[in-house]
Amino acid sequence: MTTLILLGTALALLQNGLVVGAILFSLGLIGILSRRNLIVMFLSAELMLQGISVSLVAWSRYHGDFGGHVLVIFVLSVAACEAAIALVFVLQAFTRTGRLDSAAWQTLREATLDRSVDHEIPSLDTSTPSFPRLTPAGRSPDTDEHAGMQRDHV
Amino acid sequence: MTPFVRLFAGTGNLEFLSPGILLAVAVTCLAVSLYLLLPKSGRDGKASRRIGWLLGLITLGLFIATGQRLGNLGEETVFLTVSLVAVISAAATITCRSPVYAAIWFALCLAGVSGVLLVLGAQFLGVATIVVYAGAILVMFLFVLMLAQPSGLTTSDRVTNEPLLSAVAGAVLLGLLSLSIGRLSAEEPLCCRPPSKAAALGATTVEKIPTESVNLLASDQVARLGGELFGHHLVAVEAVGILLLVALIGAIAIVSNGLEGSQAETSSLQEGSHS
Amino acid sequence: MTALLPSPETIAALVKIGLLVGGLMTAAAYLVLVERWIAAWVQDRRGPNRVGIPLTKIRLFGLGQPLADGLKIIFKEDFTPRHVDKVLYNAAPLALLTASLAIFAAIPFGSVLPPLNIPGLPDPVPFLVAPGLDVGVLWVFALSSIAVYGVLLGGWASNNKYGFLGGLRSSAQLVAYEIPLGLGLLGVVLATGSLQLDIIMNKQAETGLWYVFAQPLGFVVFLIASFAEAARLPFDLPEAEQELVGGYHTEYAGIKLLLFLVSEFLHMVTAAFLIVIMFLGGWHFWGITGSTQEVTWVGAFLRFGILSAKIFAVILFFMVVRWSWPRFRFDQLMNLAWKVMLPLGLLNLVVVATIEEFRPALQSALGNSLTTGVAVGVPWIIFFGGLICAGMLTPSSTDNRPIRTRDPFDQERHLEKDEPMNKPSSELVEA
Repeated sequence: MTTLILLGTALALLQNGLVVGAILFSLGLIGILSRRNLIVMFLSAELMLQGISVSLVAWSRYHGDFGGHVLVIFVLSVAACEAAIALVFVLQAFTRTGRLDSAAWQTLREATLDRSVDHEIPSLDTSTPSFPRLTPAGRSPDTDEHAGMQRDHV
Repeated sequence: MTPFVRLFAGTGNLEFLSPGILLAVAVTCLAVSLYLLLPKSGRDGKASRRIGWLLGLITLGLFIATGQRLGNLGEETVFLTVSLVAVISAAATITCRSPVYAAIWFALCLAGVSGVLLVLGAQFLGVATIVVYAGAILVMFLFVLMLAQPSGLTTSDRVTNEPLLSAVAGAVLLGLLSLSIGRLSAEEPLCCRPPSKAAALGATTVEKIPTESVNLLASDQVARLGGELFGHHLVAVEAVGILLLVALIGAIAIVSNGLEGSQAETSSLQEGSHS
Repeated sequence: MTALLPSPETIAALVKIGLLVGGLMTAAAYLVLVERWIAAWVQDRRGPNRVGIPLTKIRLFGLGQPLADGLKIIFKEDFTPRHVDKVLYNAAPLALLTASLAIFAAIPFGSVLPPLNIPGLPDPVPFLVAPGLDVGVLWVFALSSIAVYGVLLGGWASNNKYGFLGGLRSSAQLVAYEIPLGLGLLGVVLATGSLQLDIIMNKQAETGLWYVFAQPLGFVVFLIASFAEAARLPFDLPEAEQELVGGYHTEYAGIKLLLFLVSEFLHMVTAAFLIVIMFLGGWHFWGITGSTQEVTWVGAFLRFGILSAKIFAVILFFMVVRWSWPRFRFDQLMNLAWKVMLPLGLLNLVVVATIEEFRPALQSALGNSLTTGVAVGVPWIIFFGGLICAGMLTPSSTDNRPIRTRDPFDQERHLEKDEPMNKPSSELVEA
C-alpha cells in the first residue's frame, strides 16, 4: 500500500514538473512566433529549452535514473553553442541593417509571399526626459585636435 | 499544479464542472491574456494589460486548483513558489516591451527554473544552469545595451507579428500537452518505460520505482552523475566537446568575415528593409 | 501541531545563519577600519585613531570609528536622482547583497562541534549553514556570477556614463576571470574528489599536505583570479576612482551605497575564505589541531580560531597589496586573463590530473613517502617552468597609444605582416 502511495506522489511530481515544462515551452513558442526583436526571439528559444530541461529532469526523477540529467547536460552544451552562433548572427544582422528587427530581413522570404507592412506605426513617446544640467563655467577651451589623437608619452 | 488529472478520474476539486469545459476555459483565458499582454501597435493601454495579467492569473489559478497534490506540504509550497516565479517571469519575458527588461525577466525565470530542478532532485543541474546561463544572459544583456537604441523603444519592440494567432497557437499547444500529461496515470506506469529497462529490472517491477527514486537523491549524487556521464555517454561527451569547439571557431570566422562584407551589402539590404 | 514547530535542524541552521550574518557584518565594518589603518601605515600617516567612547576622552585606538561611520551613512539622505530607472536602481544593491550573503550557505567557517546529543539533531554539528549540499563549490560560483548582475544593473540603472562604464568593465572582467578561477579550483576538486568545501578541508587535514604545496600553480592562478573577482586594487577597474568617479555606485548615496560597499567587502572575505579553505588547509595546523572529526570543545574552538586567523592574514595580504600596486590598464587586464592565466590554469589541471592518474601505480612502485615527494616536486618544477615561460612569452611592457595610421578594422594587414597590434605609433609611421 505504501508503495502505491509513493508511486502516486512520484506521479504527481512528474506531472507537476511536466506541466511547468509545458507552460515554459508554450510561452517560449508564443514569444518566438510573435516578437520581432532578434534578441527577445533568442530569449524565447532559450525559454523553450528550459521547458524541455524541466520535463527531462521530471522524467528522470520518475524513472529514477540519470538519463534525463545527462540529456539536460547535453542540452546546456548545445544551448551554449547556439548562443555563440546566434549572437554572432544577431551582431552581423545589426551591423548590416542597423536594426534588431527581424522584419528587416524579409527580403529572404518565400517568393510567393507578400511583404509584411506595418500598417499602424505606434506613435512615439515624444516627452523628453529632463536631465540635470550643470551651469557652464567659463568659456570652452580651445582644443588641439592633433594632441587629442596622439599622445606623446604613456 | 497538474491540471485535469483528477478531473479525468472524476475526483477533482472542481468536479462539478466537466473537464472539457475547464480545459476550454483555461486555454481561452490564456490565449486572450497573452493577446492582451503582447505589444500591439498603440492599442494596448494600461487597462488592457491589467485585464491581461488578471486573465493570466486566472489561468494559473485554474491550473493550480485542478492540479494534483504532492502530499508533502513543505515540498508543495516550495514547488509552487519556484514554479510560479518561473512561469510568471517567463510570461513577462515574452510580453515586456523593453529588451533590457526582457533579459532581466529571463534571468529571474532561470532562477525559478533552477529552483524547480532542485525540487525535482537535480542539485547539480539546478546550480549548473545558473552558472552556465548567468554568463550567457550577461553577455546578452550587454548586447542589448550596446545595440538597443538609446532613445526609447524602436518600432519593432512595440509591434508583434500576429499576436492573436501566436497566442492561440501557444495556448492550444499547452492545452493539448496538459491533456496528454493528465492522462498519465499510476495504473499503467510502464506505458512510457523502455521495455529493455523494465526487463532488466526484473519484469513487472512497479515497486522498484520509488526505491530507485530515493537512490537518485542520495548524497553522492554528483559523483554518480559524473560516472554515468563519463561512463555510458563518453562518446557523446566528446562529440559535444567537438561541437563546442566548432561553434567557437565558427563564431569567430563569421565575425571576421562579416566585418568586411558588411559595407558592401548594407545598401542593397536597406532597400528591401524599409517597411 | 508538532509538524509546524521547527525541527532542531532548522533551529540549528537559523542559529548558524544569525551568527554568520552578524559576524560577517561586524567583520566588514571593522575590516574597513583595518584597511584604513593599513593605508595609513603604508603611507606613513597616523590614520583613524580618534573615535572612541563618545562624550569621554577615551580614544581606544579609534575603535569607535566603524560605528560612527555606519551611523553617519545610515542617516544620510537617501537621495534618488530623477533620471534613474527606479525599479532597477533600488533592486541592484539588494540583489548584490543577497547574493554575497547567500554564498556563505556553502562555506564552512570551522570544523565540527563535539557531540551535543540533542534528539533530532544529527551529530556532530558542522560549522556550515547547509551541510551536505553536494554542489558546494558550484553554489559559490553560481552566486558570485549572480552578484555581477547587481553591479551591472546598478551601473545601467543609474543612467550615468561613469556608472555604466563601471558596470561594463565589471562584467567583462568577471566573465574573463571566472575561467582561471574555475581552473584553479578544478585542480583541488580533482585531487579531493568532492565539490564540498568541508570535505576538501578534511582531506588536507588528513594528509597534512595543504594544496598550496601540492598545487602551487593552481594557488597562484586562483589567488590572482580571486583578486580580480573581488575587484581589489590591481584589478579595481569597475570603480576606479581616478577614472570613473565611483564606478557603478557613482549615483548612489546613503544606505544603498552602504549596501554596495558592504557587499564589496564581503566579496573579499569570500575570496579569503575560499583561498584558505581550498589551498591553505582550512582549520588544520600541524601539531596544534588534530586531523580527525573527533574534537573536544577546546579543539573545536581552536580550529575555528585558526581558520579565522588564516583568513585574517589573507585579508591583510589583500589590503597590503591594495596599497602597494598600481592599477592595471584594461587591455593588460584582459591579456593577463586570456594569455597568461588561462594557459597556466590549464597546465595546472593537466599536471594534477596526470599525478592523480598515476598515483596508485607510483605508490605500488615507490612506496608512500617517495610518491608524496614526486607529487609535490613535479608540480613545483612545472610551477617555476610555467612562470618562466609566461614571463618570456608575454611582453614586459605594452603600449596603448592609438594607432591612427591605418584602418582599425583592417586586421588582415596586421596578420599578413605578422606585426603586433600594439606597436608604438612612432615606429609605424616610419614603416
